[in-house]
Amino acid sequence: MGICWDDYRVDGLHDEVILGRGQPRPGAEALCAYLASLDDAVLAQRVASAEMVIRLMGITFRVYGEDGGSIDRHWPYDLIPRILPLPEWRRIEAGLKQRALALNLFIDDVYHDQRAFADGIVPRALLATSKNFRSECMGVSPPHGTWAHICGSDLVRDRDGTVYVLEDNLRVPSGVSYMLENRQVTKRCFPELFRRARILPVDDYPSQLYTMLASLSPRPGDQPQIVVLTPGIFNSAYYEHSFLAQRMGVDLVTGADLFVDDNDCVQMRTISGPHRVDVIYRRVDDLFLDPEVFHPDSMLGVPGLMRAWRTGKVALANAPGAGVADDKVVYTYVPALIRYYLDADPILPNVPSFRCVYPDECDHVLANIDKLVVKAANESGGYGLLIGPHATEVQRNAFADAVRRDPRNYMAQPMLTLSTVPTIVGGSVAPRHVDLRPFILSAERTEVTAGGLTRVALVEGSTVVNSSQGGGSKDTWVVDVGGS
Amino acid sequence: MLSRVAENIYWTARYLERVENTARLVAVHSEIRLDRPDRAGFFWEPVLTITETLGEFEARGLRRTERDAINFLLTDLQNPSSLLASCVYARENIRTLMEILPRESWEAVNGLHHAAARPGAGAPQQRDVYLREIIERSQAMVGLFLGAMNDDAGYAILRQGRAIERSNFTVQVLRDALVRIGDGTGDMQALRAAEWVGVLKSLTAYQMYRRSLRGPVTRVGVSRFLIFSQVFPRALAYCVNEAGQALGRLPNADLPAAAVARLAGELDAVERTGAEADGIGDLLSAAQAQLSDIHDAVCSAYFTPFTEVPAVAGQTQAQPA
Repeated sequence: MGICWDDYRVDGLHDEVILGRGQPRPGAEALCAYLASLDDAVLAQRVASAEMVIRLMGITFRVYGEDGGSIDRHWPYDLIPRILPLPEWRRIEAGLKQRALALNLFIDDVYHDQRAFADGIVPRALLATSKNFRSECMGVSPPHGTWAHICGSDLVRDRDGTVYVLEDNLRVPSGVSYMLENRQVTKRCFPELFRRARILPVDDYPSQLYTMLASLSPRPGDQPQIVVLTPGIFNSAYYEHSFLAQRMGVDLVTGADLFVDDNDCVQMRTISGPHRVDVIYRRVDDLFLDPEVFHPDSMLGVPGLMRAWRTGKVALANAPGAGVADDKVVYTYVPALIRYYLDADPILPNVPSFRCVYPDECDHVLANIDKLVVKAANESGGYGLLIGPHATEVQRNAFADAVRRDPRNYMAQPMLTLSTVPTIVGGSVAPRHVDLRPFILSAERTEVTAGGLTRVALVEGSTVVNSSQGGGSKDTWVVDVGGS
Repeated sequence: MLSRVAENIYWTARYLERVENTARLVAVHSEIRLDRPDRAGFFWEPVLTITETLGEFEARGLRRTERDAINFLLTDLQNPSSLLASCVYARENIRTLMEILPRESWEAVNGLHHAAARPGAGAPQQRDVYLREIIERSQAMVGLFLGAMNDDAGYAILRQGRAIERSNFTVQVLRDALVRIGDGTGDMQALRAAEWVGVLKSLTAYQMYRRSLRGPVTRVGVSRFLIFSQVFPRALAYCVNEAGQALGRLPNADLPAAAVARLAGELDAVERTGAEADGIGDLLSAAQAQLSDIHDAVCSAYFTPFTEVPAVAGQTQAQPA
């Protein structure tokens, strides 16, 4: 009848909810007892009601098909939450703030004095081949010296319990709306659970985002005009763009809604004429922002936008060029950058990484490609990735050739065994691998979401958590376990 | 308010109004059908005429049967005016308005779309329940906007779209009835009265007509009520007044307000002098052309004030006004 935790197998895994045979981790006791008290029928009914809630709330994401088309899918959600005890979370939070600070100092350095290169911390060659370095940004000083205002860092936990940073997303990281929606769905489906545990609320994010964006306004004092710039309804994250605009009470605009006037000010077209825009939370990639500077045929951007930004007439978040630090090879230098800029030891470790730009490390990667995960510098969403142990000989050879052709563009990491969370599979529970994407807001101050978006690989044994490739998601609970 | 947002709100209102109108029209005709089991000819032709889709129905080579007509009217996505297509367009518009309209309206339009897409709903034994649900859900959305949305420019645009769609539909229904339901006296009079009751019902006007006018339901009575009533919300004059009031809450309203005032003035003049019985048809075609002028004036005042805004692919908003 229902879920029996004694039957839940965690051998050789680190499970985020179950410590050992039938024994919950601290903070998960109430959850486990509650789930075990539901019989099969009630559990099935809760699963169905969660699906119904998602359908009614219209929570969707868009998947691009191989034929170039795309379809809107309902958001995949698993109703068993992932648990993080508060003391551990506090340490992770401090590590993320430290990291975001160092990354912003690095980006600002790249576009000004380039001390980190001069002092030999990061090889200058990385810049020459960086896909996300924008020479158009040289010398620009955005407000507070902040470039990556919104950062989504992916965390994973290995078998031994260590939490590593897997990558930092500094361009247009997405997923925060799903974090907020997952909590709504859990509250609607399991109201009882929230009475039994002290769970940190997550709802404050839109206000924090608004405050952060407002602090960037070039016209302090006035009520700033903030907009969210979306590529449009066919973008995979459109739902999120709309959601955030709605929660902040600001306008959601497309490139065609904006223009840059003769004074380099950005204006939006309204029913009563042009209105000046102060801050743009842009969810359009750098290269599509301004057809005068980047892709001339971009329909998504605004001609003259870079001019307006460079002269300080409008703030862009994240700043153009912030992606220079969002590079899987630059990533490998982040611990060194933390020591360099902050004179402190990194609180959160990187996954140990081999950089193919160095011949000895490259040889190691090529010799052990069947044991490693090899990543291209500038791909995301689970693309441009070789999982050595799971790949075929042909795939491995093709990747090895690519590494030899352009070693700077690759790095490799040992295969981790990602931690698991119990997940509903066919009416029962089974362990499924997860990662965690917290979001860090940086400007005058730095703030981190309480937890983040937990993504889960729904296929047994898989570690691919991307929603575009069959991943799902879970609510994430930072639980105040008391005492400490 | 962004011009693009205003345009999407306007079309949302029109599509939602179209959903409710189509559902009620089909429901009423399905009921009338039961009283005429032996009537010769193609029973659904008036409904196709009123929804301005007869040409397309014939061009597609569909059969003049109940099944083909009902599928075409209710669930055929190739028919851009079908009930389901209107739900799809309303939903696609509201998707771009999630941060503007009350959050519940996104949930409500998902529910509406889900209900409209239910398979087999056009079958005779399920149709009535299905159409009632569609009407209720559409009305609930109207109520949601009324009760949960700021009465600002966005709501004014919503009222504008609804008034234009609604008045155009009333004119279509009445024009069709005047042609179709013969005049005169004699044996056929009882039957004709029943036809006019059907006309009122397809505009949810029967009860309110009775409250306003006593006596039998006649051609003249129905025409006057549906054209000149200042109290019935689907009457032409009422809708024109509503459009004018909504414009009063919008900036730069000179041109559309002038178009509204012109039509209101004409209706007023005809009501005072009394229209000739055979002049009503002309009045209605003139009114329809002027409704189209109001639509055009609203479009040019609010939707494309600076340059051509590229149309969002996948949305066919160039519907007949």
